[in-house]
Amino acid sequence: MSDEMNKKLLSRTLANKMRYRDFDIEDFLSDEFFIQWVKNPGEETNHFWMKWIENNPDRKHILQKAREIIMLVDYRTRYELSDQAYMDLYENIVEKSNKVGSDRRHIQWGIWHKVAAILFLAFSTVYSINYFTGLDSKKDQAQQVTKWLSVYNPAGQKYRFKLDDGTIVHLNSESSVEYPETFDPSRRVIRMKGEAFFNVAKDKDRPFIIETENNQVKVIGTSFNLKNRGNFELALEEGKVEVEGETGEIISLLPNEMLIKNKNGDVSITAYDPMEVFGWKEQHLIFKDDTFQEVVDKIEAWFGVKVISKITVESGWSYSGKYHDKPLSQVLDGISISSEFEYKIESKTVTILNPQTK
Amino acid sequence: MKETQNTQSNRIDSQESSAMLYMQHSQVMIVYTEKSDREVWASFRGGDEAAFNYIYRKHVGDLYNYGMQVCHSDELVRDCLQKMFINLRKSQSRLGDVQRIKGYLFKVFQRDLFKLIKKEKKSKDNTVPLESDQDYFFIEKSHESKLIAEEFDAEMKAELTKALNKLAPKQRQAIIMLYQEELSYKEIAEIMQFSQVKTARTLVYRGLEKLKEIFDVG
Repeated sequence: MSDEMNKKLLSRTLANKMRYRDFDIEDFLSDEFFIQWVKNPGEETNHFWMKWIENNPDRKHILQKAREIIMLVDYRTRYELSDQAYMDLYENIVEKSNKVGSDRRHIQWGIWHKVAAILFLAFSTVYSINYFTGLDSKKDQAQQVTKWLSVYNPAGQKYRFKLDDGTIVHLNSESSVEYPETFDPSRRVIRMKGEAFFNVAKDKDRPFIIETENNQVKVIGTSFNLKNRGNFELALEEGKVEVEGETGEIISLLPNEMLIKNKNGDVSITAYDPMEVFGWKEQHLIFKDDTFQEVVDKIEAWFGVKVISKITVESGWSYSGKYHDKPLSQVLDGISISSEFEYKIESKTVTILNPQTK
Repeated sequence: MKETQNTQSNRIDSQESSAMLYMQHSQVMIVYTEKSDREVWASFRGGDEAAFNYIYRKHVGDLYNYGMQVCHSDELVRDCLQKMFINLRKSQSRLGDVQRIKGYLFKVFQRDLFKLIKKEKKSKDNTVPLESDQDYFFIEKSHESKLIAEEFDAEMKAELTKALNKLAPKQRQAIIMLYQEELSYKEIAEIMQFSQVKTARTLVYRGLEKLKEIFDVG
């Protein structure tokens, strides 16, 4: 409420101090002056209510209950305008109210280029990112230089670390994440390639945004696995996420759902096996109906080795198996037993051979 | 640093008005947060772009969310927001005095949104997913509620939330607008198109009365 209204309420209330004496909880709950204090306490209102509690100690718990109920009420689902929509909408409003009857298509293309330019500039200049992300910032941070850090895991390496806001990132091998040393006051933006599991710290005032090559993932506080290797695969464990594609379409996911966008632009939402998707971060190496090539790729990425195959596998070959924190030789033992091949490990190279060629 | 930013804004947009969105937030906020709504509105009516920018930033998120509660069509809500702001800008010099910008925008937006929904329903035989009356403005426990001293335990809060969601949708709406949007009864009455402020007050009061059994136990 405005200051003016506040003052009016205050003076009206002070003039009638007795009015709260017989108040029951529903009276407090529907009293504007009381609600105003709960939501936006100020010096004068604090003074008033502290004094009131002092004079009416037996009513203190009713007042406290009313306070809690007022604080409790929130939207079940709060819908957020995407950054893109936020900017486009503003552009449209300004352009269309200034230039009457101009060509609509032309304007929209103009905006598209502009937005692309902004994104490009913002993400290619490390130090000025605040300029772009600070649209809603509450504090004057625009002058502050934002330092971007980057983590890259080569094959064979995994890394777990914490961001400035408490978010935990499990970064898989052959993956990278770029993030600012300190987040902007209004939104938390990072970029990633490859695969990572995020446990995002809750902060409903600062959405957490992950930029990938073609998509933008926006969350408030949740945990999920994101893989962007050819296909875009997002498996949500908890909370809610929104994925915005290149063309601005937004897909929301619920817990236990996995979104897959393949290179052709096909989109599907399915259920998933948590062990299969999240297992890697707890050192579970999982094969499930994998083709020979998939098995080779996984071993190369997991152990950081090069696999040379001298065998030809029959069509329809597949392998399933689970290994928890096992060395390369044990994994290869397991696969070779069921698939009848032999292998040689020489430093960082694995050679797979047919038994009869020996 | 400063120079880089200036060059950027020039490159991004040669049109001064739309460059405003990318103007440093701090500049706009410093100028306007200290001003009363009435003063900001007066600047906007006088054609001040920065004042409009401030109004847009401050309220568009809440308006969008509100619209989505009423009708789950992102396209329609955005369309309606766009039209409303364009109309406001086009008629800015003819607009009246406004005490509370948020309440005013909610009122205009609600009116426009209902018109647009009606129109869409007629033209596209009911393809707009306007939620049935039973099915909107649901309430959930806020995160902040966990941070304050506790008279109610988690179980009780869950029960309260459940009871709140059993109220009539209009009661839920009024309660959310009063507590969450921090609108006054007068504003709520205008938004919900009640001719009397008393109606909004009674709506809330009767709703809360129904929860009294739970309050008393807790």
